[in-house]
Amino acid sequence: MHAGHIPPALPDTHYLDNRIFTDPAIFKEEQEKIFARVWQFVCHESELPKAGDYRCTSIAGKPVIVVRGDDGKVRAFFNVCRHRGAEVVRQESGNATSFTCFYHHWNYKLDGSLRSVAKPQGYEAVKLDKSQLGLVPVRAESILGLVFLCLDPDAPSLEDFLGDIVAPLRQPLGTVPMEVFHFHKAVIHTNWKLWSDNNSERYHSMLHAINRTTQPWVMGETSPMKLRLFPHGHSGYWSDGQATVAYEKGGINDITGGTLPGLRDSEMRVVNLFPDLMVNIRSNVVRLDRMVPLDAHTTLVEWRGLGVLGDDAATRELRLKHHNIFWGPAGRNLPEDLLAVESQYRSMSADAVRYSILAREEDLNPTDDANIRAYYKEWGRRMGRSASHPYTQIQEEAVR
Amino acid sequence: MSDTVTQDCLAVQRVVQRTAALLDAEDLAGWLQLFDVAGNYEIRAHSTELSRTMSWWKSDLPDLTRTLGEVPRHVRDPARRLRVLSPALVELDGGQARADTPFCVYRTLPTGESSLFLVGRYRDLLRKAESGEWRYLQHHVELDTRVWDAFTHLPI
Repeated sequence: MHAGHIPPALPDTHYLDNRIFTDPAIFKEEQEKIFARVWQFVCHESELPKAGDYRCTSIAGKPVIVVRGDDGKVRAFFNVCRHRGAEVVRQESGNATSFTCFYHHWNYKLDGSLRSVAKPQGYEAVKLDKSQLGLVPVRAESILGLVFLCLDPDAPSLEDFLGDIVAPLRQPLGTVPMEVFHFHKAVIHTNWKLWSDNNSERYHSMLHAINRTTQPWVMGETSPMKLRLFPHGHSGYWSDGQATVAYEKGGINDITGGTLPGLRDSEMRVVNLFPDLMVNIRSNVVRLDRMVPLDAHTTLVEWRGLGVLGDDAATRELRLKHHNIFWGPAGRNLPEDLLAVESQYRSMSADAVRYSILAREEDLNPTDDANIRAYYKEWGRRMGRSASHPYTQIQEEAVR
Repeated sequence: MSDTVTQDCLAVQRVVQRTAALLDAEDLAGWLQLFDVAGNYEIRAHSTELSRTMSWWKSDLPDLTRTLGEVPRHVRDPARRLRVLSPALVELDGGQARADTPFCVYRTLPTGESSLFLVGRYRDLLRKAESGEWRYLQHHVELDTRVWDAFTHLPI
């Protein structure tokens, strides 16, 4: 065994075997054991403002339609015609009064039920029961305007899954109507968990010149900002006190105003929901990161920016500027984050150095790794394997 | 077409071509000099997901100057960009000109692999200065490409 393959002399909980990021078999297993079983954010309700508005996406690799019905309810279905399996909807978004499969013209209502088939007389001999052939539903629930789907009929409710982690979001997201004003996406060349880690750990603020300057709690030994750990691998990062981002130290003096309910001017609040959603709030603007893992080494990331529905032009400009300075595709932070996680993947895929370290213990100060450790504890529980020794358990399972 | 009109159209096209050359060379100070003091820069894209046009970067000249002054402090994409422009379609209106320029940007990694990075159009409004030089009042980038495979700290 060469030196790069020797585990670090740390507790098993404090390091990772990097092959959990690169092994296609582990990726496939994640799709089955995590993405097919947990609630996942897919869009914001403002993306479906009217009856018939729909969005197409995928979860656990399966195509889904999310649509607002005539009754105002948001529902989701597999985007697969019950007849011969073609995609019923082929646009990413739009508005429809019903869905007609382009292939043989089977037609579905917005509630998913099968309304009609072309040339129905051809099915009379077999007494085709249309009531049993609606689009296959997927569980859909919303909280604070965030629409989540879950493929597992036996999973707990969304509210139970999220628990108290939503508390810091209730005022900013739930007391004023919000809307998505920014959407962009990128296919990034890395494993989805590395982007998730990057969104969760604050130690990497070293990477960003602007964060080193404007986030004094990152460099200090103590901090009023604290990590917050919750069941199911969810975590957060905020202050109960007066900590704010020191924008003026970065020469940024024109982004204050329009502060969202429950926040202080220049306050920062981050919530990371297992397995892949980040809600990052900078006082007057919200960023949502959602991931669609494509394979072990490729991830589609969707970025949304949210402001208040009905903003006047000046306030919207303010939110937009604040958002784009940090989180636009040509902003200060996002390009650097992307370089880091792609660099990680390139070296990890070579398996030269097998382990990475999550060993910072700082009383839940922001640069503590406690939230990442909690995340991988949940990952391990769901996968039935340890993130530091994943293959030992595979062998044990094979023996059983 | 009069000689003056022809000369002005060619001068505007040269400004647009020079814009690309300066960014390719990462001569940011030179690029900023192409703007009128009242000029602004914006990157836009139409989201089919949201059915609205989005703004991904919007700066006036002081903001641009500040933002680009920070570039040396950033960890940067080591790839080079090459902008390839079609000739600008120029319409003159008194001392102003509108220019519409389709473009694409190629990205070349340090290892030598190249790929198409972005496709879009420059939609510009320029003003003729007293010196006779054309400068941007609006230098707007309208992107067709909305799925990026790398980000950038630099203008497009």
